Amino acid sequence: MLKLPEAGADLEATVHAVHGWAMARFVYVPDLERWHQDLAPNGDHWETDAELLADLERAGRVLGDCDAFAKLCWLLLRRLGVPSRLVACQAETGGWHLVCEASGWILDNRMPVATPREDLERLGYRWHSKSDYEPGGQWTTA
Amino acid sequence: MTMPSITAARLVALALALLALTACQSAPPQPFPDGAPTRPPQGCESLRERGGEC
Repeated sequence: MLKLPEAGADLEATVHAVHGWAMARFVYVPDLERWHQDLAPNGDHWETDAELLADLERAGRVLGDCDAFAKLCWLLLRRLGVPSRLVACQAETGGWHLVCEASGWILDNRMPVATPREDLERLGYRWHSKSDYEPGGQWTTA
Repeated sequence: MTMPSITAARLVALALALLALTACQSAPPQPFPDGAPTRPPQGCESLRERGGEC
């Protein structure tokens, strides 16, 4: 039985717990390597919740790239009742990137801990669009 | 050094120490502001076509 992370005493503790839990189980694998026959036209593959949970149940870890990590954090935070969103951005390298956000905290597989969005802005991150809090909702500019 | 100047020096030192302590405390991050509706990233659109959520 898969044991998911538990909520902390407050929001900050919860986002750090979720980020740490996800990082401990995340293995970076490029989409081309894992999903070479099932890629979007831009060469991207965003995992379904079922794919993420199947990875966790089968191997105790999630294999994927930034969107797998962001979606895993989004899934975990929603299960804990924490409002959160996906955010499409460009990292300081200029490369396109996907992270998860909860009240300004950014859960990012490139960072060792959940990070305030202002710190990532100082690093050179540029935000582009964000999902709704609920899956299937309207995306808006960030 | 006279008494008043000692007091003033201590006050300045205390103010600097408080300033340094304040600088160490980070303010909580701010959520993103509301934005205008926009198209989801291509990866999200592709995921929705496969029945996924984003």
